Amino acid sequence: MLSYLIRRVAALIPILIGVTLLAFIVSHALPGDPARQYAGINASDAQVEAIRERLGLDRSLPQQYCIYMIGDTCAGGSGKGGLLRGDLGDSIRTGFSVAEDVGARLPATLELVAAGMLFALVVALPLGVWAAVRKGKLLDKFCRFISTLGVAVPDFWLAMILLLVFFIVLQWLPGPVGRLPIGATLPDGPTGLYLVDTLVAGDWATFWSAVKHLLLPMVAIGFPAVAPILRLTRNATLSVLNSDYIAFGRAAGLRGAPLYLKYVLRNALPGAVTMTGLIAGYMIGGAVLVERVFSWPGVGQYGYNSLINTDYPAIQAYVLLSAVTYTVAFLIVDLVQSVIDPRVRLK
Amino acid sequence: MTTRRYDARLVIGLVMFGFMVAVAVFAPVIARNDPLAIDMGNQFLPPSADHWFGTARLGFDVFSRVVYAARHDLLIAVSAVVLSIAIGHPIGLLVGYVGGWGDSVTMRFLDVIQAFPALVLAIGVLAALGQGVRNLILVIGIVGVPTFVRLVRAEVRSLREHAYVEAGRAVGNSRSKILVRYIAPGTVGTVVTQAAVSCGWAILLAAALGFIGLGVPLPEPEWGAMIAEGIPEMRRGGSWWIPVFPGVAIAITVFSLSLIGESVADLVEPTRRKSR
Amino acid sequence: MSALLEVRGLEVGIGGLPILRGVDMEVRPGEILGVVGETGAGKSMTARSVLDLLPAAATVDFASCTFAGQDFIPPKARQEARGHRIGFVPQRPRGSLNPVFRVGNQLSATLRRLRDMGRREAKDEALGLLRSVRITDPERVYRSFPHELSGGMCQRVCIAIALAGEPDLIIADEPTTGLDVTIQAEILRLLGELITERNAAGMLITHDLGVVADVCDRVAVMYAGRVVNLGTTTEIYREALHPYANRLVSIATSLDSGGTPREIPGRVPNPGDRLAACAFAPRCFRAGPGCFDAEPPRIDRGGQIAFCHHPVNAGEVPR
Repeated sequence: MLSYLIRRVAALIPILIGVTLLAFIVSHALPGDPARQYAGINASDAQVEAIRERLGLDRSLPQQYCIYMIGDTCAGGSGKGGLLRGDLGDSIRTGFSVAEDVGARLPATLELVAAGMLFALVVALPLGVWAAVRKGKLLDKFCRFISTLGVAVPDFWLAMILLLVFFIVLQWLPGPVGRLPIGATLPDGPTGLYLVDTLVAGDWATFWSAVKHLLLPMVAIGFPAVAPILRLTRNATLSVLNSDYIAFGRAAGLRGAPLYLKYVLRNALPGAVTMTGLIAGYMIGGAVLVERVFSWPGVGQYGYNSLINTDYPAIQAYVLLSAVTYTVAFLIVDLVQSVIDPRVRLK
Repeated sequence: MTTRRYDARLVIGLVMFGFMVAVAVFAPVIARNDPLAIDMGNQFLPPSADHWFGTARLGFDVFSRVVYAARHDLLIAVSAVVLSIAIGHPIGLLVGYVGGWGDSVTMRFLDVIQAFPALVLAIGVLAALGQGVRNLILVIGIVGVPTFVRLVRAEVRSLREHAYVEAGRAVGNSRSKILVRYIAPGTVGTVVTQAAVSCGWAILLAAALGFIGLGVPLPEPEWGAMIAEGIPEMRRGGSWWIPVFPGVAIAITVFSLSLIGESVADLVEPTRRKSR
Repeated sequence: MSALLEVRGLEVGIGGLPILRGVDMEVRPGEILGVVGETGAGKSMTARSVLDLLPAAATVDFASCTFAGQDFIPPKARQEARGHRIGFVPQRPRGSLNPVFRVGNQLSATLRRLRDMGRREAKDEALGLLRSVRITDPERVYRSFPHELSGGMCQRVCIAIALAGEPDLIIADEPTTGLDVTIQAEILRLLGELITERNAAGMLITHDLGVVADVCDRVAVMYAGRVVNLGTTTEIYREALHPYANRLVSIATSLDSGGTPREIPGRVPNPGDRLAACAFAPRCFRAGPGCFDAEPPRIDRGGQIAFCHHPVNAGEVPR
């Protein structure tokens, strides 16, 4: 198990290096001059040059990349900064450290993606098993229709429809104002996840308000994931149901709920888990869209604003964060996989 | 017995997609107004006999804009997929057949590219290239390349071991001839299947980029951008028709492509039917 | 002597096609019945009907079915017998063990389910069972996943699971398919011994008549969804009445003695193409005009039963 873990992590290293390189190239290919933007419209050419030098933008690209990765040792400095030391640089736009900026917004996105994921799994797993058990029946056909339709509906449009129905028409849920009503006191907690923090503090009113604000974004980001997970679970369940070990389990007297829970769901799980990893990556990308619709103060919005403002370090951090989360999600999936399916470790 | 049902899916998919293509092609005939015509006296009108889908800011006719937007969205999606295939198919054939270090390097490179969520990568590259229809096609096409490379490569590697390829080799065909005459035709089926799926996916990506404001420049009509424009109007004045109809158009188009993709996949790979 | 399991007039159909057409069969206490026939004869179907393990699309109909005096026609009765009263040894042992659980876990879970044992007790009993199926290092096997074990080892584990509920009858469905030839004989001998040791009865399904001779007391020969010949192993071997059984025996013995077997011409008919009269007639070396027209009569010669218009006479050498 440990050697498997080490092998998997080692395989990630070249990918992550490639990812940083690509993120660097993409963000530096952006049009616009960040130095001029930073200096303001009225700045003189000399001022702009000074800023360019301060930001290190006057150096060659390989040198800039080196500084970005391992800090100023590259430029003969004293060994400060650099990605490998956990320094993502300072945002040109806000002036704060990018790591702090992102850190402040990360919990919002995490809460959103985790809730969306949970929603997708809670809906898709039981439905998938059920559809397989009733293969060919009405429910199965309905599930197939839903899963084909599910991938066809853009998540940002679904977000809008949800707002239209539950906020504008029915007025059951709050509008797109973010995680809590405007002007509300933000919960002060260690995790930054409002649901957790308010719960820990026992602040039920705020907790309930946070739940209500989270509901629509959760469904919007989670719904597109329902289709693929449902489909995969259904097919995995079908092949499990037709397997020799189910037949033998039955012959050995296994029936009813234990048969479905212990054998069927357990064996269909690995497939669903793989899909969940893929979906996690998709959601991190999709967060940009859903966050914009709901004014959700997350990383996606931050990335978008940085992009518009040619904020190199911030864009790099955003792109990098997306890729790293995606890659790590895959790693976790593989590890979970190897725990729930012992055959994986052999490969 | 089962075959007929899959044909039904294919027929429905083709009819729906054909309808959208017809809408795009005959947009000037179908649309009742100029999609760019400004009519300040008739802003934010709900759907009526005059304006089937209502009007938007500046009195734009939503129906005409949805119809004309089909041109942009379909053109972008189809061209992007053609581009993905044009790049991805040959690369997949080559690395799958030749193997060796070229294969490993390519695959590692694809790993890196695919480590980025597609939308994030597209946003980044598009921001660098600048807006415009041509760049949209380029970006969506490039983001779609890895899928085709992987698909074709996997297909080639399994075809390579088949008896008929062995036989072709035994009668003295050259390596390149084997690849072109014996292996490449075998990959067409999966590529066609994936093309339908990718096309739907490209429409979603184009709309997402449009929604963010990186799509077809305004005021040209595009479904994603229309939804983005419509949401604030909907919140302000309840004019739901502005964002709703473009989304329906997207959903119909992508849904039809999924149907086509699914049924073609079953035709190409008959063994899959058993599990359905 | 009353039968432990008695099946009368079992009919099974799938999608309108008759698969089994009136199967009569019984297993007596303490005996091992061999069920022989080519692929598609309906051997497995018969066994699965008894356990109510047929695919959902199948229709099952018994004239009567009893197990130790209990009416076995209600599906529930047959389901409840699984594991408890009837143990089942599967065809593909490797695929029949759940790949995600350790072997010991599967065995002791079965024990806890069938015999209401606690965890500790179940583990001890599981190790005992593994030992009783002649596994020399039960501790290691207990901790293994199925994919870490050989096919023969997996089959021993499956046998242990089949024994877990202390059943009165053990049904083994081609238990040696896919195993090495050297291990096949071992597994069969083990099965035979275990059944005898535990005073249980057995039903051994196989297409190999040679296997039957070693382990079984009586033999039922099936063809195209019917039992065509039924008798003690000795009787069937010495003078099988039914031409089909007779031919099978001569093939098996000539293989054993190193001779060239004379094969049976033609193929087993598909369920839709069977003759209503004698399904074997088109391939039979003794077939006469009557064979194609009327159902073959039941012949009882000294306890051996056959369904045939022209049974093979004692001492007659088939051409």
